[in-house]
Amino acid sequence: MENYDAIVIGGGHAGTESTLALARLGKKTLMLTISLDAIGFLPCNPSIGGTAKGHLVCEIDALGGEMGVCADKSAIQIRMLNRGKGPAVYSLRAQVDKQLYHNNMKKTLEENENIRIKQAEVDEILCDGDKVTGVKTAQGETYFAKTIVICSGVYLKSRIIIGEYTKNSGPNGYLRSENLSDSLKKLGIELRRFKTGTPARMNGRTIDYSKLVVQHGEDDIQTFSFITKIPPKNIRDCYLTYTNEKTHNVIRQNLSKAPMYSGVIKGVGPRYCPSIEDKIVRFADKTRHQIFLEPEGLYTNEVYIQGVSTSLPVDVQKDMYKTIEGLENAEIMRDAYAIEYDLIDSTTLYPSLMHKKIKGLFFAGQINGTSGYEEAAAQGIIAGINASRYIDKKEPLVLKRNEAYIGVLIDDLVTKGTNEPYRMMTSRAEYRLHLRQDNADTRLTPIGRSIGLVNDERWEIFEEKQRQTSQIFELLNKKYKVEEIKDLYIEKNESVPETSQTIKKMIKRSNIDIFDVNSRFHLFDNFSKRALEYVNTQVKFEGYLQQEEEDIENFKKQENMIIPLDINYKKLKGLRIEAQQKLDKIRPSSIGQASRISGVSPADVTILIMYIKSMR
Amino acid sequence: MSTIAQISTPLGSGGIAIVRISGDDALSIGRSLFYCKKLVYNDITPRLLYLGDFKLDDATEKCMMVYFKSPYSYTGEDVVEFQIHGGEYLATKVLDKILEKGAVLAKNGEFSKRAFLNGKMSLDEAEATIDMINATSDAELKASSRLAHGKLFDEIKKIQDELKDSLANLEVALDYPEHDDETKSEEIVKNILKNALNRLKKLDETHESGEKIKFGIDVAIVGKPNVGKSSILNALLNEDRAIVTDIKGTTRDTLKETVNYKGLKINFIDTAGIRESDDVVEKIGVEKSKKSIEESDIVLFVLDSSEEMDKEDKQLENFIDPKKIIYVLNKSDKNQKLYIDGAIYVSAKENININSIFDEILKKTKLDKINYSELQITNRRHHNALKEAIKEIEAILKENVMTLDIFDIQIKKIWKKLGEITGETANEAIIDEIFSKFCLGK
Repeated sequence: MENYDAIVIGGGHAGTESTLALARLGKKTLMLTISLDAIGFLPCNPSIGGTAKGHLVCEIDALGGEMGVCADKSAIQIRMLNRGKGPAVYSLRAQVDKQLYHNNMKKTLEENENIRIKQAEVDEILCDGDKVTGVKTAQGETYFAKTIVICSGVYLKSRIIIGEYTKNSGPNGYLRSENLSDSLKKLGIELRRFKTGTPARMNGRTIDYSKLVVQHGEDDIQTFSFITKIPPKNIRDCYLTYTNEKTHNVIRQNLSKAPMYSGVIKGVGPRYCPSIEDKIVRFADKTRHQIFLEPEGLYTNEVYIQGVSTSLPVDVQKDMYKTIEGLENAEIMRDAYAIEYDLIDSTTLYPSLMHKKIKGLFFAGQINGTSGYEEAAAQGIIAGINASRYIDKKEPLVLKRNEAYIGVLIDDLVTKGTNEPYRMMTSRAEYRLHLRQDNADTRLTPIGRSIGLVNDERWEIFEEKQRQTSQIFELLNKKYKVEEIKDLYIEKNESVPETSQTIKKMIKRSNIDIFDVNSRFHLFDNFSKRALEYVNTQVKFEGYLQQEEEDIENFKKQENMIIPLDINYKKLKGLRIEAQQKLDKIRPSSIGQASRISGVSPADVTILIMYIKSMR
Repeated sequence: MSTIAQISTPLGSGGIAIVRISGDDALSIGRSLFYCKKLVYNDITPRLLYLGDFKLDDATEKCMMVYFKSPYSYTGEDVVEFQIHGGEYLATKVLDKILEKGAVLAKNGEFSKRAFLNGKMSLDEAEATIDMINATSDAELKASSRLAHGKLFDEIKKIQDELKDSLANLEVALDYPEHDDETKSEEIVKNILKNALNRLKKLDETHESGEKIKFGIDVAIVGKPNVGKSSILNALLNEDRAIVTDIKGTTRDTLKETVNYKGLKINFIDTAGIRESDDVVEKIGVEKSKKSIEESDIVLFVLDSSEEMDKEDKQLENFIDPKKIIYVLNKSDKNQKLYIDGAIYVSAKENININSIFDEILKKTKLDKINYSELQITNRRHHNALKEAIKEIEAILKENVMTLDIFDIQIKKIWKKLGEITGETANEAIIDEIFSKFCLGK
């Protein structure tokens, strides 16, 4: 019999962050995973980041998580998306070497003294009353712990589907979890079923790149992690190609064989990541769809065909891929497939990610209905932190919607729930201008430090940036005479001012930034690029930031109106039945959260407010 | 909350009348007054009509009773309705009996208010319904019924949907940079904004006439003493026009009377003669008069047509906004000495040409050509939201250098403002739009 503080089930992106957070907070943690080779595995595209996802990675990093560090270490191409569309939506995206990512993550876990890693399949969650006590493995071992975090990804009773062929299996040939679903059901946890999919992998040697548009990485670019010292190099390229009418015809002729349409697949698929057959049916008037060819790593020829995930039979897949420019003679190494899996209803969780009915049981990642590595990792770190705080009998860490994309993500999950795999998007965030990559550290590193997850090294880097930032702000008041700055304004196509200008005023012009000023006056040579970028954005968008600040103040007012947890909604006069039921199920902690529940109308909220006021 | 009751059908003699009870005690009160054989041994079934006898003091009255169980009723509370044979007298007797049993007389709009509080109606619907109940003129009724039936919402919703479409475009560009080629340019979105601006402005313009429909046109009657203001007012208030309200003050105070003309409410305000005065009471009266001239929509400037304008008249004339002024030359039956272009010549004494004053009022306020199929904003909250949306659009169109994400945030703000009128404000709606319009994904 072995005793631990915590057990984490699963070694994917939620599991690894969760385990590391617990261990770094001093908890003896056991990670159980079906296969050690699947730790930090990227079963779909070989990339980390992108819009809103890049934000999540920076936030995880700012709190003291691992994903950003590992992505920087494993990147083989890095780019900043959305340049020119505004600093709030700048999004870092990296192609990573899958093997390297797995190795780096596994090594980090192995090095930690508080972590024990064990390959095993968990069959049963053990409980004493409404409290978790441990787990039983399929191999017959029992482990005890005060808290358990389930990060089972898509492995619960998963099924692979390729045309008529189906197989009970986890992704990429890994074993699936056979019995954990039933154990959860026995605990009274309702299960649902979702579907997702992945495209084929091809041998790069057989792809004809000569006709395709190449996409290089960007050099001298920011990194995900605030503590990465050596930025990754761009050593591999991506390529762009398109489907065409021939491709679409092959799919149309074979639609009856598509499991999505023949009824083989019953799980709910994501709208934002549809299979190619889904795209052809839903967007019949589009004559082509974009495809990215992404390298899977440095030591392999495998190429990921982004944009053509499918569950069509293999012979149809072959015919279809052949019609695409560049892929005419390409060899498929792994077939595209769809995968169905069990998951829970995320509204049964508290914002801490602990289950409402079972004390000490936390859930993170795809089992909560999300999709994406970054979304999983974001929940993983929070579940890890809160499992640790549960042991220490401390208040859980709940990030608000105005503090982090992580806050938006988890609030959406526990308040609204989701009926399809949930993907993070910048449009989900109400206070986007405040939730940038460049200020993730200002927003979250102090929180991470107070929790105990931010180590001295990270804290010093943060404090140094803060020092530089305030020095830069002071320097912005320096004034220059018109003749000194005239050239700069002319060169940048800006009207020349009539009086002397402070630097602050200069960089408020849309075509002039702090780096332009520096290249002329060299005032900021000794400051870091990150600090300068941060100040530049804060100044340029000052007015808009202030406007958003006002909205945030209003939002906070609603969030600070606390609803007592023991409120009996069924007896609250005036609430509609639907609202009663929804409120009773979600049990929101504030008026703000209550107002975001679908099915709760403004009138219901008014009644809630009146009730709370009358209680005081 | 107390149990309330009221006669729900219009007063007067009709075929049948309905008396409605709502609240916790509705059923017990209803049953205690109603005898039906079927209910002696059985529980009452909701939404079923029962024929029986209503017990009055000295008689019984055959009537129907129906019970709506909470929350499936108009108010969301337990509701009992009695359908009785017509006649105000009988309905009043039934109501009295119900009040005797402990129900409280419902105030105007109270059923709707409860429906709102119980989540049965949105705020807008409730507001519009209450406006409809309180409507005192045809035009007001028409405007509020259109609001309740969502025509105004439909127009704003249309604008909102176009903005939503633009937002979906912009957000695809932000969230899916690889799909840049599918998205609309800033220029196209700005054109959509321009179009929306024009339509919103049009709606905004209707607010003024909407206000006038709801609150009536305020018409001040001014002039020196003894030019015949009071007799003109009396002629205007001719008995064949219904007087709706009548608020009287002291002799030096203003007097307000409301008249229904061609379905519109016209509020006449008789002012004390305006002139400098040392008398304290009169001074207050004069101040009030000046105020009512400023606040009124139209000023009837009454002059004696048998005399030329003197200094005092000229002073008074200068005080009035020319856009509001209607010259009324009284005593046209006498020897005429005064001629003013566009003036109306009347004789209050002989009741000559009085109707022309009404027509001129409608013409001046542009309500003579009002098209009731046009949409009028009559709700102040809606109007504020509309005004703010207009302000935001104008601000965006003025600005030329803006990053795409700021542009998107600003448009979302407008969309949300309009949502305060239509009730659609959730981010989710835009996200749904994105996925229904664009083919995205990996």
